[in-house]
Amino acid sequence: MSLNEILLNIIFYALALTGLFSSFMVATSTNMVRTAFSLLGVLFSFAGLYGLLRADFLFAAQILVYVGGILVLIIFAIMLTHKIANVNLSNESTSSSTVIAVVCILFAVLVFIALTLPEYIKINQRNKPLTEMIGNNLLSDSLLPFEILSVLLLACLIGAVYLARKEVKE
Amino acid sequence: MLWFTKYPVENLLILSSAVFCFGIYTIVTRKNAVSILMGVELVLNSVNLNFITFSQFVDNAGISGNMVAIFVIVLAAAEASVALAIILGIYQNFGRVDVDKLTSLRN
Amino acid sequence: MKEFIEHLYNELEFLEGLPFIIPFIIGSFILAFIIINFIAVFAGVCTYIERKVAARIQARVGPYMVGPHGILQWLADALKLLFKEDTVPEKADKLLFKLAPFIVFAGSFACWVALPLAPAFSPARLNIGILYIIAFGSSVILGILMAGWASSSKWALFGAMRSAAQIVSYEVPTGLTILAMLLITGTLDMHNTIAQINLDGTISGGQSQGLPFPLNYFSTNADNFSAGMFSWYIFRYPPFTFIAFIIIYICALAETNRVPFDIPEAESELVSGYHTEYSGMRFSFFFLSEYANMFVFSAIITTLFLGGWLPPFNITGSLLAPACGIILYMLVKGKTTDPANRFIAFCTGAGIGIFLGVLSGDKNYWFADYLGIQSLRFIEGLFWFFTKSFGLVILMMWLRWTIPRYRVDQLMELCWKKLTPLAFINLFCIGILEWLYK
Repeated sequence: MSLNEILLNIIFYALALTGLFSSFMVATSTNMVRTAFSLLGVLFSFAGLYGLLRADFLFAAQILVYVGGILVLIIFAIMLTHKIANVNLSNESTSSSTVIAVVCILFAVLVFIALTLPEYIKINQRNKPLTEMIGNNLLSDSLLPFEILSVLLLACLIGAVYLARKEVKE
Repeated sequence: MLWFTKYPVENLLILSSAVFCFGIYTIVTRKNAVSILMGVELVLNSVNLNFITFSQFVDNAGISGNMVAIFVIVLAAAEASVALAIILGIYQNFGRVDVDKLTSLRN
Repeated sequence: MKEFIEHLYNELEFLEGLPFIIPFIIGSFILAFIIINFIAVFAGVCTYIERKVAARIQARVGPYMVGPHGILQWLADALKLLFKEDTVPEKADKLLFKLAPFIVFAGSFACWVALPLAPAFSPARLNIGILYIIAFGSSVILGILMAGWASSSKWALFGAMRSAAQIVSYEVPTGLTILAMLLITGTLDMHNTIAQINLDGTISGGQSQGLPFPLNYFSTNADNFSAGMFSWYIFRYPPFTFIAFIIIYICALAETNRVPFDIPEAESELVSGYHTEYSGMRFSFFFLSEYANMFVFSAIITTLFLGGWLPPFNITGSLLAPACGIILYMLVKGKTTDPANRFIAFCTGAGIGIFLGVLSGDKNYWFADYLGIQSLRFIEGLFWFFTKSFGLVILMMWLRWTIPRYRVDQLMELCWKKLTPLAFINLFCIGILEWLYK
């Protein structure tokens, strides 16, 4: 094992631990603000993992859409639906032993499936830049989903504006 | 499964399943609607990580996994915007966003 | 960057046994150290220039006491900031409060990775360059929201919310304008955006070719150094690219929270915006990040519109201009003390130099073979890139003292009702032109 791979592994474990810890905080933290900013850690570490997996376009898209878009939306929603003067907003959770047991069983099943993967794994050798392949694919093989998605986005835009606007009193 | 490997497939899968479980836990236990949305985002992210892992390590020539991940990200953006619009509407009508208190269809 | 270290690695003999990764990591750290220091010095000098520009516009003298013409004022300010007490409000969320300035700074610092600073040199050649910069530029919002929220102060919170709303809104016209320019450049790679301009002003799109560091590549592609300013993307489709330039410049002002769009820190309404509660070192990180962001946006505009490291006129002129300027400056220096006169002398000299360069009309510089230093082009590219970017930054300062502040509703109206439709129309027109003429 070369030094290069050891370094990659260290980066991988750093990112993975950040992601795990942050998602744990999202699940259990009792402070609303901390919860929202823990999600930031999850999103960034996942973006880093995409980078490590050579999905460079996904890396940029994750940060651009999730961090710059969705997370900001979520934080705005928290600000608009709470009395924000208080920093320590509580975020109740109704945990019970049943829930924990079910989630643990789910996790065990998923890990079992992951560990019993067949041995057909090989490294993906791309000779072209990924962005170019994605661009070509969007306009050839996955043209239909692309178009449907654009219509869906338009519908969401209009729907969100309609839902969030103030009621006009007749 | 190896702890130090060039192809950390299982490690990535276990990570994503852990995050998936945290997401499910968040969705089930939280009362606040915005927090539930965060749980959904966790689940979507873990699924994305799985898709990209398989795209990198299994799908040798194509980029189908990446394409699906892109569509998931776009759908997540759409879903988040609509969900937050609904949450804002609920807040305007009821004055609170705790899902266990929202038992009536009209105020 | 990687090419540069590879070159060194192959050349230097004492590195023989080492794996490549070690010099690579050390080189990356050195470069990061250089850039971080550059940002600090740049921000300091910018404050000095800003105060001098303000003084000039308002017919004052400006800082004058520390050093000749107050030129060391920024060092004194920096020292004062370093030694200030670092206060944390009692009701603040301590962890987030302490984390926020670093996230803001990391967001703007990360953008520097993909900037094409000189021919064959950017800290990393990313295939997704411009997308990467936009992505990390937008992640600054999170740090600002975090700062505003954790401060537990209403001024900070209002500032942060205004800032976030403003940046998110202005990302729309920015993105549309960059998209329009990407239709022309045909590449996301910031480096290739400039390198693909040919000598005759045409653009060779398509695959990004790896440009190896050993300067042999100058013999082929760097001849675009004498392509002249009309090969820049801003002169591609004249009315529309000009409009795109103006839109993106306005958006850059808004996204860096500069006047006339500085409502997040409007000192007459909010005390100082999202960094009201910060002091000392943490405040200086916000400060650095603001100036780093200004430079990053100027660099993006320089790359996409103003030809990056390409000189505006051919190669002889570009060296003659600063030379003549400095000579005339030296001649005048003894005779007058007014800095404005000296500046005018420098500009006149530069103008004469440009004129001489245009007259000579020679695309190869006549002394290059004589001196045998092709690598002069590296320094020259660096010079032009930073000159253009600094020019845009100084224009931002000039605007600050010229235009009054917008109101929040006016700001949003400008974005959504004027700039966004204009950017859409612009995108459409550039697309049609590109389809017709390509």
